[in-house]
Amino acid sequence: LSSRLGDDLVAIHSSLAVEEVAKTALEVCVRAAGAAAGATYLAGAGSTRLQLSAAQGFSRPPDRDDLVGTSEAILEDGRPPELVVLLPMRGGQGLEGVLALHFREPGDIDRLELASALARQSAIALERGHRYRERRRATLTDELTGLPNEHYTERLLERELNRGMRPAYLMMALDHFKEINDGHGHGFGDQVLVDTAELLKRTIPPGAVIAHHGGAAFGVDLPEAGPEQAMAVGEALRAAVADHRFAEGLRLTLSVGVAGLEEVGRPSDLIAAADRALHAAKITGRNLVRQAPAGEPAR
Amino acid sequence: LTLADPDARLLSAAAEIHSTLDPAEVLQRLAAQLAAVVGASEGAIFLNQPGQEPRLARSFGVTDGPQRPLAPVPADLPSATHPDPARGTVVSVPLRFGTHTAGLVELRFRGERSLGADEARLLAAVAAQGMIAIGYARRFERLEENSLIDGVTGLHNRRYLDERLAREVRRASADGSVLSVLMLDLDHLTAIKVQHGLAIATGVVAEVGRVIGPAIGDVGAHGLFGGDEILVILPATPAVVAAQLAERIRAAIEAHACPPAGIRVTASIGAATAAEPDLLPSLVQLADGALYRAKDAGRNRVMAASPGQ
Repeated sequence: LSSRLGDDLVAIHSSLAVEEVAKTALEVCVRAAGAAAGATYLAGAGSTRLQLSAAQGFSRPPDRDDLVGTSEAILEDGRPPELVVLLPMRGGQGLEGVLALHFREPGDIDRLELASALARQSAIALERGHRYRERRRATLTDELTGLPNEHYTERLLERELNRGMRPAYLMMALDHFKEINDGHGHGFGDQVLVDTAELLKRTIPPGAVIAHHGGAAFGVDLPEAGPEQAMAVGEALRAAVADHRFAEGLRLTLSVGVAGLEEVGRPSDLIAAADRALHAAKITGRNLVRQAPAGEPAR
Repeated sequence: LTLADPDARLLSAAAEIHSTLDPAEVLQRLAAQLAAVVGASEGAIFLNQPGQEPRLARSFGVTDGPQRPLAPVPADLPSATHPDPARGTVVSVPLRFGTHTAGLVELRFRGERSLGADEARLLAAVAAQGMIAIGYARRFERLEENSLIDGVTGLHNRRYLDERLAREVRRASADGSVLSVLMLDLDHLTAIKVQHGLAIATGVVAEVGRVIGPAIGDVGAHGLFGGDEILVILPATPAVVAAQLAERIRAAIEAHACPPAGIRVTASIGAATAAEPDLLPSLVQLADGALYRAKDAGRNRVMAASPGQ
């Protein structure tokens, strides 16, 4: 048994997120085939139309969704590839995507059979990722925490906006969560997320709804809240996490982005504005509550 | 140019194991793949229980195997071989991924059997794939269990309604708004079940749910409350308006032909409004009582719970 294969299969099959699988599949297959560069194209939902999802090893990456784009790409050494090999990622349900492997010389092809087998494995992982995404959308639920998910709050916000209410939305994420997953294992990380969900749920005011957006991200819908009130709730949530002792005495912090409603037309705009504010809180130091700039355009 | 046998075997095992999201099926396939690696015809999978000993989850090639594993595998070993007087040799492979162990697979041989280094590595690699797949299958299962949607009709389920109702009750007590609910039951649904079968009857309930949506607009929410009863939640809706909406729903259902067979149904509806906060906790019960009075009064009608009842 080649020692690498087990690790490669673990890497390919270790995510339910389609984009992440596409990226891992690319890394694994480029290396397995001895290619200089590569790109993953995914088939769109319910169609075989390809979309560029990930690329690596280019100085000028492919910039179009069709495969003509892949042939115009330039490798890191400044030259175009001499050979491009397309590996279909075909699972039990049909074509999930195509892997384009770029070689400097035609003679560089190495272990293409292995790469092709790994592309098939990637298709199986992509299929599972799509099923997970669809199921999550249909059930409106996050299965780990039992909380509603982001699709649920989108519907909720839509209802509130239609009813002429003035909701605020808070996006929040645990800081440095990836290090916990990497350092303590996924089981421990999952437990931290469940505990965080409980803690946040206890802290939000009556009438507010909390959702798990997946990963370390949570959202809170405040059906009627002015900017000061929304910021105060954000601050209470941040403080609750900062004061909490998680399992094994672990201490964590929470970054929060707050968005109010001005000129926001669609629920997704409100969530996106809160997400940008969260990003601002993350890059300005974490363990912070940040408000989306007033009068921010709704798109 | 063909892949070496152990590699090909691991690839095909992974493809098998990862192509299903049914937890029982994952276990079945994992057991089959592990057994094939070493040519075992008998064995069992034991899964860890929180705070308990690992318990038998599935056995194969034997009808009456042990309920507990013969021995644990030390944390630093990928597998272990134990001589067993009763069963010859037992090869134990932990289901391990990172620092997490989900259980143990036992593969049993009559007589003596030792494990080669390549075999041991392949077993561990297949077990790691199984471990990942088991985790995903459980997540899918939990997604169903925690769902806010009824899997058969696509309507909101009881869990959703309980949460939504609790929220609306909190909101009504906080801001003093008037909360109403409607409890709806289709008339003579049993006859439809008998005549057309359960699947058609369920389709009728789902269709009625879809008719209610446009009738109440964005204001409320509705879903399957229990059995075939549909609960409609109407926030900030006074009794007069709730009665109008209930009548609109009743008329819409009566006028609607449910596909595929164009079945006609009518509904009885009980309405209740919490004009004062004291009534909030018993709102659903009040609506349910009104529903039964609507049934008693001849069905296909709306009855309101009278105040003070």
